[in-house]
Amino acid sequence: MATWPGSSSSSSVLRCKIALALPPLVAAQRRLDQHPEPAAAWLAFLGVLYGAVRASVPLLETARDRARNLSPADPLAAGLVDYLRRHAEAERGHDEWLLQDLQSVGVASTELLSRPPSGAVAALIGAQYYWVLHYHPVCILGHLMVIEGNPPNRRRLQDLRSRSGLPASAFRTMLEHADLDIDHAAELADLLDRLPLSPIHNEALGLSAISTVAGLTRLLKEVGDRLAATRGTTT
Amino acid sequence: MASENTLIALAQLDGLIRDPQSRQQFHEDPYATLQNAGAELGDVPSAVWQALTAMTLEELGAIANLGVALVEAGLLDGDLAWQFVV
Repeated sequence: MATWPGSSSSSSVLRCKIALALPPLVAAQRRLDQHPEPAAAWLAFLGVLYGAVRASVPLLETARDRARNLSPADPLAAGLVDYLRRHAEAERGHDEWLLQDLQSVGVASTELLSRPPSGAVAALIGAQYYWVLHYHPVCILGHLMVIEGNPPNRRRLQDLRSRSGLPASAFRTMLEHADLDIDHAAELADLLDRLPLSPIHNEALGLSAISTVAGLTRLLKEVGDRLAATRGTTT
Repeated sequence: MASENTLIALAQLDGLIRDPQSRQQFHEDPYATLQNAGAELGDVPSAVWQALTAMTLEELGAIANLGVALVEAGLLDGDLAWQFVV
């Protein structure tokens, strides 16, 4: 059982809440990880992931702009602006990386871009727009803590690559994030512990994080269901 | 690996927060609600207890809606390759 030292800090409490919510997401990941056709599962996953990644920078910029607008009368919003600006810059172009990874194994970007993103992707990202625009931009930090706080595992990615037979190029973006996200999570935790968060803000962060876990779980479950249906029709 | 008592206590907690009425009671008086359900606080991992008692009623409801969240809370490694990135 994990413990959280210094667990009264905002970041630690948020991490505890996320840990409570994670098991269904882990189960959905495990289902994909154990799929009998690892290459097909990985490419289906990357396709869905792209739907979310393409929205990352615009979402961060929306949150940054909203924080900037609130800043004169809102110290919490003021404390977000620099972080969101830097984070948007750090993430810029990662959607292109992912397209290139997919192209490297023969997935045409035109096909990916023309396919309507699923309702699960829209719900995952759309919930954040709602909270950012209609409540407070701090909510996005709950979403980011789920994503940045659980970086891809390099060893498991390499194992998956070996099992799938796919080239390294199909794992480039995820391998990069295995390293990048460790620093991002630490930076985010540090920010959370410096911000003037009230109990209501902490609740909003928790709701945003739990909603993100639920949204990611739904997405992965849909990928798993689709793969199972395809397999059922081809066997 | 969690003990059987821990798994039983987590299952009882899961049931408590899944039901709207006992969720409300748990939020108002977590210790008494846990005792009334027949579970021992000592069997609940401290990080789980700390997180649950720090949650608002809305957050408890959101956790309950996830499905089998609490029963296995913290017992899975969560360390897989299939992770989302931004």
